[in-house]
Amino acid sequence: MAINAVTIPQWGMEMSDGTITAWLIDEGAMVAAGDEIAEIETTKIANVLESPFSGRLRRIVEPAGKTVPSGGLIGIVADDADADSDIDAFVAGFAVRAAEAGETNPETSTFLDLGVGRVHVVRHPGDGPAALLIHGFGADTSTWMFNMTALGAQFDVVALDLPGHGQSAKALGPDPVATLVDAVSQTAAELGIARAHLVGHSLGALCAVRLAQANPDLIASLTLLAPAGVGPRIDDAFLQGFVAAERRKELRGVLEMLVSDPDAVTLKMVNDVLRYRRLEGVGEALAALRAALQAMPQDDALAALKDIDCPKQIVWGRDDRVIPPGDGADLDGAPVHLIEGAGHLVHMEKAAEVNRQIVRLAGI
Amino acid sequence: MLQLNRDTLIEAYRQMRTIRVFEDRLHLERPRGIIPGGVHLYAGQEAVAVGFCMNLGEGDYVASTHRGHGHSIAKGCDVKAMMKEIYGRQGGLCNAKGGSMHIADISKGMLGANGIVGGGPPLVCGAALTAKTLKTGGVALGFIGDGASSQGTTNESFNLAAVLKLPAVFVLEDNGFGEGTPSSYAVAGNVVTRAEGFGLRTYEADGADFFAVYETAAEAVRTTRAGEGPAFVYVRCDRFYGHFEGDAQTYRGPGELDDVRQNRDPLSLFRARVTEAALLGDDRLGAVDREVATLIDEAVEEATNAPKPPLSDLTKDVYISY
Amino acid sequence: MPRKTIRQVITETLAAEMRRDPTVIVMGEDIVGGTGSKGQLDAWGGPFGTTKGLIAEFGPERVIDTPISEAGFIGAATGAALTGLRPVAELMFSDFFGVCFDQIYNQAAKLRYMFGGRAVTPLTIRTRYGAGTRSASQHSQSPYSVFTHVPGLKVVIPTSAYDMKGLLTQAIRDDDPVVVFEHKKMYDVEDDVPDDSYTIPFGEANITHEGDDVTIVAIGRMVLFANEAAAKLEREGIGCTVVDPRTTSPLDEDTIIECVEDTGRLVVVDEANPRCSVATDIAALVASKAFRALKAPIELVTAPHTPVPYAPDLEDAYIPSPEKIAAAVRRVMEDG
Repeated sequence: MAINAVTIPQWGMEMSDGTITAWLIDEGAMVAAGDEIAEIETTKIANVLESPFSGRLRRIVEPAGKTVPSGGLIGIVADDADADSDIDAFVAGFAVRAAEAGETNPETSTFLDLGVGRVHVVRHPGDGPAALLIHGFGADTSTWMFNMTALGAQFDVVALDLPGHGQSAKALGPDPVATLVDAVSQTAAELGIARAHLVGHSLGALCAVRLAQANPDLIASLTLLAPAGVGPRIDDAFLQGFVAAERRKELRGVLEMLVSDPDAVTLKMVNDVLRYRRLEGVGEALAALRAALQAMPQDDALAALKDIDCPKQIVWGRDDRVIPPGDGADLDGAPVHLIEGAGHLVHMEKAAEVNRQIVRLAGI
Repeated sequence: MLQLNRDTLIEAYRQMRTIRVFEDRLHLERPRGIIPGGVHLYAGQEAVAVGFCMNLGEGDYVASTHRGHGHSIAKGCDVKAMMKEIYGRQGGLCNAKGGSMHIADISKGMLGANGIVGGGPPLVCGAALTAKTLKTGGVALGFIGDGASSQGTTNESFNLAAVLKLPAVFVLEDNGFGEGTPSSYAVAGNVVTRAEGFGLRTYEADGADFFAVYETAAEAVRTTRAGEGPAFVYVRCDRFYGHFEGDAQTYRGPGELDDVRQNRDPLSLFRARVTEAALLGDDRLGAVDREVATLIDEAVEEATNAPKPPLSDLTKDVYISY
Repeated sequence: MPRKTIRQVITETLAAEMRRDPTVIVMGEDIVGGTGSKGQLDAWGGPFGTTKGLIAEFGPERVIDTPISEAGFIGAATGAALTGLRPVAELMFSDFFGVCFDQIYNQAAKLRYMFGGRAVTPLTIRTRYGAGTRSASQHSQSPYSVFTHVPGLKVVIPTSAYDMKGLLTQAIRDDDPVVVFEHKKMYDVEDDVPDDSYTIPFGEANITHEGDDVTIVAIGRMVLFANEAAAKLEREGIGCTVVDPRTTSPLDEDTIIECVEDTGRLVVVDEANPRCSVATDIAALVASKAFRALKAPIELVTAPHTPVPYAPDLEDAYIPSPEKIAAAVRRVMEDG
């Protein structure tokens, strides 16, 4: 018997349910593991669901338009040999079995008191090597919501809220970028991580390069997503807009710059960022970071990148308007993968592809 | 008799004279129809405003009533700006947004005339609370009329000031009438014992006698400032004009107004006292008269010719930001 | 992210602002409780426990039990605001505004304007509203429309613990007089609330549910009921956008108009009495500024034109319910 349950995934700690906006293959069609089979919309943003299984999509249990809790059954992929009556029984018994299994989300949230201040850390523990995820300007660990579970299958995943961001302390001190880099290294040290696969997005990529430069032994591989500091500057209209945004509409305009399709920016995403933006100290922190970035040489990290001796790659969305990728030519020994249909939030807009690239580089 | 030095006497006379001429002039000008709103004139009660305000400093606050010109002038509000305000012109003390009944200058510690009888005392408690909380050493003084003596707000304020031991002084100017009704009818019992009943320290003074008022005020303010809790001062005085300009005062008995003007004028009584005691001569007083006359003439001239506020002022200053 | 109730958030916010600014004081009836007694000080910490613990940290000079004289102490709070303090006065039940309305209506609201812009009145009044506690006519009303009507006042009606913290913080820091309405039945409503301070600007509505078919504008506790109705209607295939204005003065007209332009249908939910209410105000706004977008007449779901009754069934019938809201939505769907 090879009856497999296709379920609504758990993307990020806050996700409790997803809406099936579309089935991408028909009931009865053959599917290979990795094929995109459905579009799922969360309150925050939409994503595509890849089939974990190969076989035939024997049953669409929940139709498009339905909202289903995370972990809920939406389809069955099975062999042709499996009888309909067995599939019926499986479907009927699913809810009971799931409840009995008592599946909980393995992600944990903790606070570390480090030299840079209080840092909020999210972990998806796993058996593999450590992976350290570093978000960008104005973001937080929730940016990795489509990456945590997938990477968690291969890595012991650690993501942090950088100082000035998320639930971490907001003070940045006189050298803001250095504080961000210190936060990552102090987090690694505190968690006993001697070696990790680093993944940095945007400003986080710049931090990753700086960290690798200072601490080469720490770095097993380096994936830079839409990186700052190796080519064009982060678009100042974006930075300025973020710093200045005081109301929902202003912020929505800023966030729409981040994605290829502006409709992807949901109300919840805007509200979540707005809540962060309004916290005391955030305006000052972002302004300080913007000033530090403006004062920095444009390709501050490029030279350092050349000297870093570990597997490296850069992944960029073709439609990135915040840090335009150029023609996609390789940069000083780091291959550049351009992804179609993705903007600055390439790791959210094309999560599956980005996850695959990270795993591939790690040689797992 | 209280020993006041020459400068103080001249200042007292100047202020009282300014109030008198200001009010007399409004009485004359109003029938011309240029002054848009109603006014409630203080002439006859000058000794009270001046006697008390001369015992207050910059850090002290006063709140007034609808009959507020006298308190405003005595607390240091700009006379010409006041006139412009009453005329409803640009440069008015409240930018022509308040008029006679809402004349105020917070920067001078004048919390405003008030169109609501009894509106002042709670505000006075508030200013006193500020002084107490921020330890400024200031006092807040509320002028009320006999008409306000039975308002809930007045009595609540007495109680509140006593409970919270606020540095507040309440001065009740009983000019005999609450609007058109005598206080002898409308005020039951005794206002002084009412205040005593709330635990306030009480004083009394004759409002026509500047020196009596000044001396009582000094004591009431001094003890309040020293932290002895709120005080109440009852002052019997008289107003020359009606409750409002246009009030024919037919509720007064025959000869009553003549008697008041003859025998209860604080300015003539002051003048008589200081000249008899050879403290100030008629020449000196006459010089003040002339200066005050010039000031008021100029104030009326400027107010009459000042531009009206632009229509855009209608929607200004409802909020600081909206 | 810590979970906090509206009650906890109020206490936390008052304490945070009092630490931050020494001119912030808190005053009202029984906000401590027990002052001058031989029994326990801070016996109540407010009739709903919202001010408990403040006196221990800030002392009796800044946390003041007042006698029962609303006109006296609301007026005192006004005078204090005018002269350098930043008072947060509690009007125990908004139904009591009758005994102190002059201080709010003719004094606090108008001082800045009457004095030609030369006065600043940074007063905050916290007060309680709402039916459902079987407290009958004089302790159950929702008179926020009366205050909304007054130029010079700002009116804030938070519907979640997260919003309460941001809006109350803004109210205290705001230099204009602000009246903050707290629903008696919502003190235990919980939400994720950061420990850091933050403000939410006035005049920014919150959208608590999204849908393409009907816009529901709801006030106060009715936002929670509207969300319930919207979830149910979603399962029936009717999409509702729920708009929570958060502040009725200033009012986020733009968001309301935009949402009606998107859906073409409007239901307004307000537990106050229907004449001259916030509901009629919003309906008039939409009718005059978004008339052509409307596919159906506007539905108002409100209390009846009666005082609040005592008997439980009667009181429950008085208060709009999720069922009544859903019925109104179905009616506008059928109507055009």
